[in-house]
Amino acid sequence: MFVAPDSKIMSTSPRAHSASSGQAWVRATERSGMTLMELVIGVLLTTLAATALLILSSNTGRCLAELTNYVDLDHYNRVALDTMTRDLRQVRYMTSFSSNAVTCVDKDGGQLSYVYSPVNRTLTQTKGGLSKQLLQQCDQFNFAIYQRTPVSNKYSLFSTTATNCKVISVTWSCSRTLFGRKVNKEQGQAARIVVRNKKEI
Amino acid sequence: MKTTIRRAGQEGSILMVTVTLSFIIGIVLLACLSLVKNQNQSVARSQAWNTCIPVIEAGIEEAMAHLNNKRESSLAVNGWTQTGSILFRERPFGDGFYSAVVDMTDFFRPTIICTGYVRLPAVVAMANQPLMASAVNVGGVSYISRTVQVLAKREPRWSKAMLAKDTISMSGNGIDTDSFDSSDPNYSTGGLWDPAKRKDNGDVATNSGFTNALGVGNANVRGRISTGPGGTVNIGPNGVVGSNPWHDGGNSGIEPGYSRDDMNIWIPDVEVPWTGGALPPISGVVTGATYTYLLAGGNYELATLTLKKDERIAVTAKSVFYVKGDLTMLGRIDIMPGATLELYVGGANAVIGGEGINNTGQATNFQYYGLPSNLYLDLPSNGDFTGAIYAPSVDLKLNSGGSSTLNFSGACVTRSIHLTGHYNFHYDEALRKAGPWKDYVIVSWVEL
Repeated sequence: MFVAPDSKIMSTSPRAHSASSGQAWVRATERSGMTLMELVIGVLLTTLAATALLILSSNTGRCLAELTNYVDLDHYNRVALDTMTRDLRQVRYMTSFSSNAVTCVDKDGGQLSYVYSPVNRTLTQTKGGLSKQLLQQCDQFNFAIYQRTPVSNKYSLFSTTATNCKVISVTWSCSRTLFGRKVNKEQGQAARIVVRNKKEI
Repeated sequence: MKTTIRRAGQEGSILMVTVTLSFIIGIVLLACLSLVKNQNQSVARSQAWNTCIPVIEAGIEEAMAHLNNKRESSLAVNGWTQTGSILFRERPFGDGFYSAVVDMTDFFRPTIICTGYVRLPAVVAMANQPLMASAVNVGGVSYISRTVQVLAKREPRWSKAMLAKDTISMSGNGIDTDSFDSSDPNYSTGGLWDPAKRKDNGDVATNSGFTNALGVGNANVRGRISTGPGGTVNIGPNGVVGSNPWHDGGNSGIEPGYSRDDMNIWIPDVEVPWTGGALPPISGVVTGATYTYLLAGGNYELATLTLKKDERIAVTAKSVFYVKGDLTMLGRIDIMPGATLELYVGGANAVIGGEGINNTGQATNFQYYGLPSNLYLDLPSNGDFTGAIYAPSVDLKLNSGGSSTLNFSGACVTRSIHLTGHYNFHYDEALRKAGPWKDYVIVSWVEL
C-alpha cells in the first residue's frame, strides 16, 4: 500500500477495484480520517494510559528505593548490634561512660570505645587507633549502664557507675532519606549486653 | 464497500511496548526479590551466629558443673573423656552441638574452651557469600561455629577479712582492719601480724542492699568496703577507708574507688562433717598438764559442750570436733604446734569466752564452722583470737570489753557481724592461698 500525494489511498485489493468500477483510488475520508471527538478521546485515553504508566513506574521505583533503603538500614543495624554484643561482652571493664559514649579496657588490655556523634549522626567504634563507622544517619543513640544483680521481683537492674558496670544497655534508631525526605525509620533497636569478665581488683 | 487495511507496523509497536514493560517490571521484580533474598539471608545468618552463644554457654555450664561436682571421685565420668590433664565432652544441642575441652594443667585455674556449632540455614548455605562467621563442614553438614575460652579459678572460702550476708556494724573508736600474710615473711614476722609489715586488704563486705548495710562508724578500714546493690555505708566523722597511703596520709572518709555497691557473692551453707557418728573425746595429759578433753587427731563428736572456767581442751594433731548442740566455753582450747582443729557447731548458741582459743599457729589451724542451725556466736574473750570462722547463719558478736585492744587474726564469714570495743582485725591472706576452697568460678571470658 502507498499513499498518493492527493491524500487518496491507492489500494491493490481486488475488492477495491470492483467496488469503484475499475478505479484504484479509494477516498481517505471513509477510513483514515478522525473526527475531533475521536481525537479528543484518543488523546484522553493516551494521557490516561501514560499517567497510569507513570504512576506505576514512579511507585515501583519508589518502592524499590524504599526497600533498598530498608535493607541497607537493617543490614547496618544488625551488623552494629552483632559487633557491639560480641565486643562489649568480652571487655575487661569499663573506664568511662556517658550517654553518648563508652570506653572500656578490651580483652587484650587495649582501649575500645564506642562514640555516638549527634552532629554527624554516626556511631563510631575505635580500637587500637582504628575507627570504624558502625551506624550512619542515626537519629538517636543512648547508652545506659547497670549492675548485673537484678532487682528483686523485677526485670529492672540497678543503675551504676562505670567502675561497677556489668551490663551495658544500648538503644538507637536510624533512618534513611529518599529525595530529601525521611521515608525509612526504625522504631528502635535495643539490647542489654552483659560483660562476662570479672573485674579482678 | 469496506476496505480492510492491515496495520502490521502498529501491532509491532504494541508488542515492543509490552515487551519493554515486561522487561522493566521483570527487572524491578528481580531487584525486589534479590533484596528480599539478601535480607532473608542476613537475618538467617545473624540468627544462627547469635544462637551459637547460648550453645557455647551451655557447654561452659556443663564443664563448670562437672568441675564442681563433688559426688564423683573421677573426672572421666558422665560422658567426659580424660587424656592426661585434658577433659573432653561433645553433646548435641538442638540443631547443632557443642564441644567442650577443659585443660586442668593448672588445677586451681583450669581453662575451658567451648565451640558451639549451629546448623547453617539452607538459605545461607546456598548463598556462597562472605559471612561474619565462616561456615565449617562437619560430617558433610555446614555449621556456623564460634569459640569461647574461659578461665576458671577456685575461690577461697575466706576471701575477705569480714564477709556477711546481712549487716555489719563497727561501733566505737578503736576498731581497725588490715591484712598480713602469715605465709610470707615480707608481710609477717614468724607467721604473725606485724604492724610494720601490714597490708591493706582488710576488706569488709556484705551482700545486704539495705540502708546502712555496712556501718563503718569511726573504724579504720585498711582495705575496700562493699555492699549489695542499693546498700549504703554509714561512716562517722573519724572513719577512714582506703589504702595504706590513704591512711598514712592522714585522710579521712572513703578513698575514691574503695567503696562498691555490687557485692553479690554466694555463701553456701556448711554441711555436717559426717552422719555416721564419731567417738566422744576423753581426757588426757599433755606435757604434764591434764586436759578435760584431748583431741589427738581424727574425728570426735559430743551432743553439747560446756567447758567450765578451769577446764581445758588440748589439740595435738589434725582433729575434727563436731558439737551437735550448743557450745559454751568459759575455759580454753590449746592448739599445740602443728595441730589443727576444725570445730563444727550445730546448736543455736555458741559462746567462746574465758581464755578463748590458744592457737599457737596461724588462722588455718583453727576453723570454726557453724551449721545452718547455728545462729549465734559470741566472742567475749579477753584474749586475742587466731582462727577463721565460717558460719553463714550466725550473728557474730565481737566484744573486746574493757579498754584493752584485742587482735583478731584470720577472717570470718557469717550472717551478720557486730563489733564493739577495741578490736584490731587482721585478715590473714594465707587463707586465700591455702584454702579451703569454694567452687570454681569463671573469671575471664574471651571469644577466640
